[in-house]
Amino acid sequence: MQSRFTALFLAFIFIGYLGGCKKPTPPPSAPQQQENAQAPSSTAPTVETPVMKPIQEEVAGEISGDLDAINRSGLLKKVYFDFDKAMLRSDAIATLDANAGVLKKYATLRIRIEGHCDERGTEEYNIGLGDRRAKAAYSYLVNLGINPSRMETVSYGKSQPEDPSHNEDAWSKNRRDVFLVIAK
Amino acid sequence: MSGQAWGKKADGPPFHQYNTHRGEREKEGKVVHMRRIAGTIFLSLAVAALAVAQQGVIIDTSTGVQVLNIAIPDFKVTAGDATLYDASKTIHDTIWNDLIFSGYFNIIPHEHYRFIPTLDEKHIKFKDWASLEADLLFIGSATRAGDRLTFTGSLHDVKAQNFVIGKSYGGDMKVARLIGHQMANEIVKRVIGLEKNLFTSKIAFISTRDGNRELYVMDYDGSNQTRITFNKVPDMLPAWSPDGRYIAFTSYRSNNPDLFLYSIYEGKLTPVSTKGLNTSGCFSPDGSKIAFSSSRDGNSEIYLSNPDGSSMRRLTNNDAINTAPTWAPNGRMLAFTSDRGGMPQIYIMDAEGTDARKLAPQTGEYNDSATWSPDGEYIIYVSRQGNEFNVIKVGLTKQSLVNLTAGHGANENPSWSPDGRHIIFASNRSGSYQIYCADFEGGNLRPLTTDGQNLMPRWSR
Repeated sequence: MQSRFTALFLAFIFIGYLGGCKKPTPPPSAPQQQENAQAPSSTAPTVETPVMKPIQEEVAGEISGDLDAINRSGLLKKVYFDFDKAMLRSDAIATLDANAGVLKKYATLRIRIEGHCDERGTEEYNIGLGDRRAKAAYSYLVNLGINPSRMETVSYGKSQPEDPSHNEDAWSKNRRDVFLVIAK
Repeated sequence: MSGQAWGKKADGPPFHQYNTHRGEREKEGKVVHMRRIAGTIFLSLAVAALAVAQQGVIIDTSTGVQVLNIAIPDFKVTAGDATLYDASKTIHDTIWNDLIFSGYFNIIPHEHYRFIPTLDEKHIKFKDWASLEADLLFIGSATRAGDRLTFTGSLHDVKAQNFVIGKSYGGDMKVARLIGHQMANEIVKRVIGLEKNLFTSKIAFISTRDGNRELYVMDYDGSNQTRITFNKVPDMLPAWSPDGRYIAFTSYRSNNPDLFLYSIYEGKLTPVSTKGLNTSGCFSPDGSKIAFSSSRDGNSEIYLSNPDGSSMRRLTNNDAINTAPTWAPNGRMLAFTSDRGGMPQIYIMDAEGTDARKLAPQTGEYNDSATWSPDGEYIIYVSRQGNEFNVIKVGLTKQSLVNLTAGHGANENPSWSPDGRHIIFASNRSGSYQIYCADFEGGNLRPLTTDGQNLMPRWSR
């Protein structure tokens, strides 16, 4: 019996609370009137839609968009290679360490490692070299503890240059591995 | 699909679905000649003359190239039929251009024989033609019944004053070019002894004219450029089956460089190898096997399988990149690229994968894209020289090395004509990559493409 009274009591308080919350809300027509008025009174209250702030979870933010957006954001950084080589340079190692950190942080991400070459190689050999470059990064990431089942490799040879110019600046940008997020 | 399907030398329907009938009337020189002189008392003498004449007109290509003078007067057509005249002119010009291209003929210009009257094969004024120093005379006539075109042509030995070969072809008006090519094939077959159908051969290539790398096919002379693939991913490195009915090529349609077999007349695509990279498909000379490069087991190695991907086995086994296999015409050896010594070089091994050794002679420290000549005497390959790529021709028995493209930018992916007297390759000498044809000494260069970037040409057998 007593518990039923308590429940009723709490229900009244709750309804009262809801009513109380409603009070400061301006009538729905108020903003309309204000807009229509040619010279709004300076004493009229300013109406604003309250902005809700979601919890800032840095982790989710980086991969919150679709795959295209994630890949455009440069979450995973490219690594670059020397001419005719598939050996990982020290700057590539540093980049791969950072990429491994990202992959550990977002354990659901699956990636495709694309190996690319500059134009100063033949079609057939460049496909092989691009394959070797993609696999160099793959092996390094596996050694850092990234599950091999989360990664695949593909070589594009020289078919997809980042910079189509014919100079060392372009070539050095084109000899690269790209880390493409394919699932999150 | 059985293995034999690729092995057979098929005389299949032409690629463009043209419907021609050939050999409605096919006669041998001997028969006609006999008829012409029948009733004379010099029969045995005439047969002897025929034998001499036949020897004179057939060229032995192994002893060097002899250029024959040939006259090809305008063909006889029904007066006043403009449509027929146009078709006849197309056949005439096609034969004319094909024979010039072959390199075996010098065509006597029209103005020298405008006034020689009769074209009737029964009353040829051989002395008039001989006065122009013509070795051969080709005459023809075309008739039309509605949309149906009939062409009859005959080749004559001027000095011996006899008939060499005659052919008739029929089809709708659109097949005029094809009739010309087939007639030219017969002339070259008869006069040179060339068994390959050079003028109806095709070139598969890759073009970016529609946005990305797509597979195309064109006639040997650059006409009828036809798009084959329609996708948004790269397609590359096509290769013909010996019977011309299949093209093996690499496509990224599944986001991976996979090797596919394309059946030209059925429009069907069959995956051959789809794990790791799969490139550089190359049919064995009998069409029963396909060699290719794959990293399906981790590293780029040379594999061999049936054209449908069955009975696959690995031929190389090392840490190097092994790619771009090409068959010796006897089917017993393969040349390929390997960087087992540090940089890519051309190697040769037997078709079992054993006894690999470096091709010698060989020049350049970065070499790839080798292709073996149809007669087995030469290998051409691409060598990087500074910022140039050049096509190098290696004489295997003569131990020679010739740079066919020096000083003209990047020249890549060479391929031999079926008769081994011409090569095609992609070159950026004009600023963009286009496909060029040259004779096998590197001369007589002519572009076959103009739109977009055109790459990786491969000539059918």
